[in-house]
Amino acid sequence: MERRDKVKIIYDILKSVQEKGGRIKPTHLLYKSNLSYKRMNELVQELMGKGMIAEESVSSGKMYILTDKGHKFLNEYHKMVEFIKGFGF
Amino acid sequence: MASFITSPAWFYGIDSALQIVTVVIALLIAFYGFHIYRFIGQKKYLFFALSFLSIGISMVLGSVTSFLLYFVWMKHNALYVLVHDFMLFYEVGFLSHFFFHLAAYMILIILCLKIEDLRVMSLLFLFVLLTLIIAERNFVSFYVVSLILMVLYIVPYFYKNYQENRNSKTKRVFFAFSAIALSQLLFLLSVWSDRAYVLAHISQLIGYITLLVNLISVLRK
Repeated sequence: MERRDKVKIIYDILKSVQEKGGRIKPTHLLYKSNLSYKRMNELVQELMGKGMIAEESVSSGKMYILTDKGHKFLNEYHKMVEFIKGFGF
Repeated sequence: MASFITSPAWFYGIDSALQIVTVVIALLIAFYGFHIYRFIGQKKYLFFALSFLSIGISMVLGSVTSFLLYFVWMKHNALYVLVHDFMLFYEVGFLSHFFFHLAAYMILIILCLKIEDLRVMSLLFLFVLLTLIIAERNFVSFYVVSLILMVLYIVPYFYKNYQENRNSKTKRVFFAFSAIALSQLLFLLSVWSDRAYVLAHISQLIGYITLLVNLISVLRK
């Protein structure tokens, strides 16, 4: 149960970055992901460790960038959900 | 001995070959199901994978048993060989085929009806064993039970899913399982007509190929 929730949350985080054109400010991500600041930071650190998002410094602070690995994760997850929805499971 | 005797002579071995195609398709879907389970981690995807793995195992057992029977039949061309030397192999082969097939359907029903209670699941598997005991005396009962499970539980679920989510994928899944249900009816009718036996295999193959098309259409994106 916990793992399922986590995968869905990770999907939502990456999807939020993708929907913003692959670059998002931490404050926007916090708002879109609907998580606590602490929880979002933990997951962002984990995703950065896995190479799915990267951090970029800009004049106004920092931005999170969706990497190729992040794009692949989203694509893979989307395919799986689409396949399984065909069966209604 | 329904499936052996009712097959027309020209179809000996072809049915096994067609079943091998369905084995490959069922195992591909099972493999992708395991991949989804590892990725997402929900038990229902493990069940989904296990149901198709069970179908694959069932088809292998059915196909190998049929093929070896035809081989013995063509070599000796005598029923006494089957009766005296081969009957035990024949019964074990087909009963295992039936067991895995019914187990696959039961797992699909557990998913369709969203059953989570272990006691209900064990009750369903007791039902599988009971069917096997009956099938040991009369193989036709296997096709009757398979048809009932398909028509009353599995196909209506996929139809409802298609009605609620009208797209090409839900439509294909509904069509595929309808074709597989039709094959169960034709296998039942094959007791009286060898043409029905051929049509049953074709209908079954169409069903599994449709599921393969569905899988390919998702993976190609």
